[in-house]
Amino acid sequence: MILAIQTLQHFAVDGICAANLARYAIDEEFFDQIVLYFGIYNLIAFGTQWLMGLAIDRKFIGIKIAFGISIATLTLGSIQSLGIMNQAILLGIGNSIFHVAGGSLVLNRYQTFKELGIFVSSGAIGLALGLNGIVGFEIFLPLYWALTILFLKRFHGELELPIQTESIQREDPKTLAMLICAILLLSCIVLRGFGRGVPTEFVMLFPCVLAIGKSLGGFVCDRFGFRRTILAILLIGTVAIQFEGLAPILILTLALNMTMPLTLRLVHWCNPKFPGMMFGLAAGCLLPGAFFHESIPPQVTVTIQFLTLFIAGYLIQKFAREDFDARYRTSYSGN
Amino acid sequence: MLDIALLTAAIETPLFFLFGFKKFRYLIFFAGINIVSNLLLNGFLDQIDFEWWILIVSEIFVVILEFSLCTYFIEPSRKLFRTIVATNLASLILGLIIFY
Repeated sequence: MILAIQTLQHFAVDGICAANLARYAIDEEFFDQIVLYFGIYNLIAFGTQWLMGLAIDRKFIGIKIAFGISIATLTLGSIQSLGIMNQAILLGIGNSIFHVAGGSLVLNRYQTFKELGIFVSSGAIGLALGLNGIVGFEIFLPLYWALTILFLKRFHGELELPIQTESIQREDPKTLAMLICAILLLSCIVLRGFGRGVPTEFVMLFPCVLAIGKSLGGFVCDRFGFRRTILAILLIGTVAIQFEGLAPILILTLALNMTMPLTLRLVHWCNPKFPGMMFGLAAGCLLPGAFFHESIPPQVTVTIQFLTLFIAGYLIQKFAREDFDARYRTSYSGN
Repeated sequence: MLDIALLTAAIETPLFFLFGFKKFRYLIFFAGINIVSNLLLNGFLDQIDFEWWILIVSEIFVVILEFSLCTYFIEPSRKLFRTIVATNLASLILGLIIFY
């Protein structure tokens, strides 16, 4: 239930921000102004998450306060008379603080991958509905209010959970190995940030594929294990690249987005005492893709994603979490 | 693209056998890995202006990729790594002779 509400909240928050920015963009005649304010929003929404996360991890900001700040800033950010600059800043702050508060709760409450996949999946749908003007902020904002009030009333006592490190972390995790692991995972996220869809007449097609991919990645990983999942992603991606047309691009997009819950969970395991900051760092790695529209050959993306996840998984299993993916130890037993 | 990948697999798999990985299962998997890595490598090289350093860096990535994939069915060892380096070197040299 708590996960369902958080997933809907994520949908609403991304929808509020996108709908407000779209409302501004429709009336703005200069394209460079649109780019500027979208850039400011992105910079704050993605670039400050690690800082907000650190504040939440260090208990400078409680989870309930964080949700309160997000409600206040998103509501103020929806007031057009404040001016687009103030709106972009307020929406960015609201978005940022919601993501790390929600993300650190999910990271702490669960130890598997599917919950993360479900939580992050709904954002793409809200974003697309808002940006394309299909649903306005008038719908998203009351929805977020209602969900947050329900969330805070219903789960009042469950929000300040102790950080679960004992069960997932060896007593002497190797700091250097975890640092290398985190760098590998974050570079994998940077690479994924450069992924682009192609224009189609169905505006919701790619967002739906993104959402399905993110959810599916978590379920597949929980069911079949980390190593098999990244292998499947590599093989699906390799096959999809060989063909032309919309369907292979959709399959490739689906496969690449399946890595999202995997990277988030492993980034968290690199430094489990700081779930908010690690979630925020992962989000910050999407910034280069938001600002630089370089085209990276899909072969490079598929290969590097596999290799970074493979090596990171190995490092986690060897240096931090011995029970991670039993298949690391048993895969040769049949030979 | 697939024909080049199959040709590479045809060169590398017998070498893999000669280096001591003789089980039929190993050879099938290794051939599959070769096809995957070559489809990715040649697809990438097709999209860029050819430079020698890019080829060399790409080959290094192919070796790492093939070694990682081999660990799914063979216990990782120095022998396995050396074998993969040797088979890739052989196919690279042969490929350069054939195509240039």
